[in-house]
Amino acid sequence: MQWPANLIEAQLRASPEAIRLYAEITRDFNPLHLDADFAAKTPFGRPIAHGTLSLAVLWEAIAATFGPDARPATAEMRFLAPIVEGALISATGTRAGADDPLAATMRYDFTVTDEAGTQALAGSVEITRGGADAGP
Amino acid sequence: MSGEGRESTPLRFADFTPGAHLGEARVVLDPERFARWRALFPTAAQAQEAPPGLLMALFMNGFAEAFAPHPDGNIHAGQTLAFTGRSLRAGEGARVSVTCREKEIKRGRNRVRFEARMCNDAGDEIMSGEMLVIWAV
Repeated sequence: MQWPANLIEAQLRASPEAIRLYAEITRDFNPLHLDADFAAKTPFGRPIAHGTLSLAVLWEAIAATFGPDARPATAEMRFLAPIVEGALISATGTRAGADDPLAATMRYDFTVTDEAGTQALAGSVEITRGGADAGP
Repeated sequence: MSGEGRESTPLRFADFTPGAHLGEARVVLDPERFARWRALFPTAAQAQEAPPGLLMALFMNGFAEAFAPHPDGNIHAGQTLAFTGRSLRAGEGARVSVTCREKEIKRGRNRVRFEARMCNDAGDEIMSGEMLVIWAV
């Protein structure tokens, strides 16, 4: 099976409700994410999404591309800019090397951006596809 | 610096010693968390195991609770991850242990690199990674 050149793009609106849900899941109630008055006094000016919420959109892109049994094996990334509340988060990626249909894993370079094209997150991820038996 | 018995004064950059174990915390994939995840990402509606993003969320929860309190305004600047075992199912728990790997002041910012491991209740590692955090105070 070939490894596609690009990941299917996934998106999520960083609405206040989405940020609140993610805060409840992680139990990270940092006011930088949830308190508009607190955030207004920071360089960001308004609440920002948790960095790993943006990362979660990348996992959605991987699942959209390879199906629910695909898994990241390893990943490395830099958080480059915040995603402000209300922004549309988009994640996509490009195969880092030549296709090898026999390879068990493949590395993709990825970016997560807002709708203005600002890179919030960039890095690379090694993907394992197939069932649970194909895991790392 | 255990997650149990939090103190009221936030940890400061000066409190960290490279190589020091900072603590550990137990996290549980309770049904409520799974339900919230499915509300956020409906693609997980049929998932029986935590998708990578939900496992990551639990990892971050354990990281935050393993040593506390963290000051408001910390910035998560970088991350490495390794998914090394089977993910958790609803009702299963794991422990996250955290070590301070290194710290430095760079361009006037307090940078601390942490190493964290998450092991399931059987003691098998399921995830590990390093977090680079710009520590606020």
